[in-house]
Amino acid sequence: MIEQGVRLSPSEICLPVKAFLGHVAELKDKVDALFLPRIVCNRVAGDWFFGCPKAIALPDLTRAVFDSLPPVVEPILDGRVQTDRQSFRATMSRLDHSADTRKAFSRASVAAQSAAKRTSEESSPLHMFGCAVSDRASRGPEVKVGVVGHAYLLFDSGLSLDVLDMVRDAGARPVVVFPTADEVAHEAQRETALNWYYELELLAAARNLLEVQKVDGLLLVASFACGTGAVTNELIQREAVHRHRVPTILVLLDEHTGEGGLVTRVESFVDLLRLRKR
Amino acid sequence: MRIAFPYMGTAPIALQGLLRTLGAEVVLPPKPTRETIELGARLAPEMMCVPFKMTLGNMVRCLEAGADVLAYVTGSWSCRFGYYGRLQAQILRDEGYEFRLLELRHDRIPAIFDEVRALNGGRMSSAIVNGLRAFRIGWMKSTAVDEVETRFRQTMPSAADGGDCRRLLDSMLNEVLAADGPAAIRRVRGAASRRFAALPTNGRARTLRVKLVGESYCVVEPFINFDIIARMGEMGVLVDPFLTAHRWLGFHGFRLGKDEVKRMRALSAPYWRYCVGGEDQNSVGQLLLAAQQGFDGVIHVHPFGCMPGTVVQPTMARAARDTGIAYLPLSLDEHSSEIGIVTRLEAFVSLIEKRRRNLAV
Repeated sequence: MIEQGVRLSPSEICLPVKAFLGHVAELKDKVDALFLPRIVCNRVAGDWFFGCPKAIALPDLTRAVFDSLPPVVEPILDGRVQTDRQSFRATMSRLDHSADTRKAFSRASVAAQSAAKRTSEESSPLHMFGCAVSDRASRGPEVKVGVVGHAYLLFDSGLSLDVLDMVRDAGARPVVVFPTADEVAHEAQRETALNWYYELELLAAARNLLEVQKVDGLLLVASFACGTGAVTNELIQREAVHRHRVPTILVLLDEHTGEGGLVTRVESFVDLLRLRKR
Repeated sequence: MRIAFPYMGTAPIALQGLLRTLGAEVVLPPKPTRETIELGARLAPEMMCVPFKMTLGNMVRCLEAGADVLAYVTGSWSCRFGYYGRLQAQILRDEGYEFRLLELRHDRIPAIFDEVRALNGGRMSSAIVNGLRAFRIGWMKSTAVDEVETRFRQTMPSAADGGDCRRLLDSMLNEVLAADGPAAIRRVRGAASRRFAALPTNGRARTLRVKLVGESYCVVEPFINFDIIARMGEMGVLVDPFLTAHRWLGFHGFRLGKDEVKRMRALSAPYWRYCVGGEDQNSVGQLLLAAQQGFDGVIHVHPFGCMPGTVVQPTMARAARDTGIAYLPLSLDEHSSEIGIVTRLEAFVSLIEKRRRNLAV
């Protein structure tokens, strides 16, 4: 599926978009309509923060790549222009849907709010995702490796080649943090805040890993040619290396990434951390 | 205050005039070279776009030349450009340079005005008078530069000696830079058409016309686009950039003129419904407009890894296919080789020449 996406994509685009186009190719002849929301910006702590241009332009990209497509349902989520409720109703009326849209929307919002509340609690299993170390390699002191990367990469074994398992197999404990809403808002208010809301999450996660979890090293996972990642990873690396003296490694993923090469890099990084700890 | 700012193409000619009249001393970097860009690329994140690396290299040169204030246009939108100032400042501070960062953003206008007032000894009245004078000088210089560049573009394809034409461009740009008052600027501007018309011609009657679209920095900065306008001019092709330094200096949303923005939006609507930066919507709209106006081809330039620039490519290709106009996408960065680009340009020119001949039969 990724291969099909690669064939369809412009050559310079990032791996997740290639996978996305592969998904569309797989689905388009089996469905009556495609649901491609255009998520433009989010309000965090009073300011607007944007999505990545590639994600915002996905519906246009899809239309340009495929010759034939089923109808595309394309709600625009741009709080500067219209509220989510307006956008939902506009989409529904275009679909000619007879159900009670108002009721559906309020039910969905209640569900979304309670989900957001639950995931932002400290006790949520989503707040910190730590895997146990496999017993086969637990000589020496325990090494904690903070892993920073978008969930769509880290938890997709097709894209990340299960990099979390690689850390575990190398004898270290991978720690992934999902920051709370407060931590993200705090990040948004800094003087040097980034422009993109989902990159704020990565910054908040990295800060938590460095200051609260006190990890021994940071593993940054990003896709090749990720534009926003170029900025975020630079900021995180500068913070980790200059202020916290914590070593970092940056892993760039694309469709050519080989499992063997990645395992070697992760293992040598963990070895380095273990040596430093002795 | 010795001020430096990131720039592209001929934009600093007008900006220098403007800031000088305001009372600031302007530090301009030397003409960009391979070393400038390598310097920037060494300090910048690897996956960053080439305008960032280029402007970072320029800033280092400016700091070495004694600049103590760095001014950036910053803001929050989806393209990385809004973030240049904050990241470059951090990189340069980690390198040990000392300076003050001046962020020009829409929510800091009072602070910017305070800067202007401080330059004028804290007096409100002289700040306002000087501000208006500065704006006038900046505007006049920018218009003069635009006039000179337009004449250059028109003359180049039919000039007997391309070198003469380039030399005249350089010397006239220097005259605009050196001109110190409205009268002097007007004199240079007025002479442009006469001086370019006086160059000997090669007798070429019909020229091919190509529209240059894409990301602003790549369109406007000749060092990055391998001087595409002059080079194509020497091949006998008139290149019409959709954006010039003069137009870029206007405000982002207004610079193409309100009608033109609306027109671009309407034209590109079937293909591209949401502007995400990097001149994506303008590029699609300008391609369709060029097809309507009978241009022979469109060249789309963007920095390697540019987020809007890459995502708009399939759309550009489809629009070109639908309208039947010749289309060449070029992705540029610090590793682009001159020879590679020139070969592709030459192939493109012979393609559109052939098409023109076939159409004429």
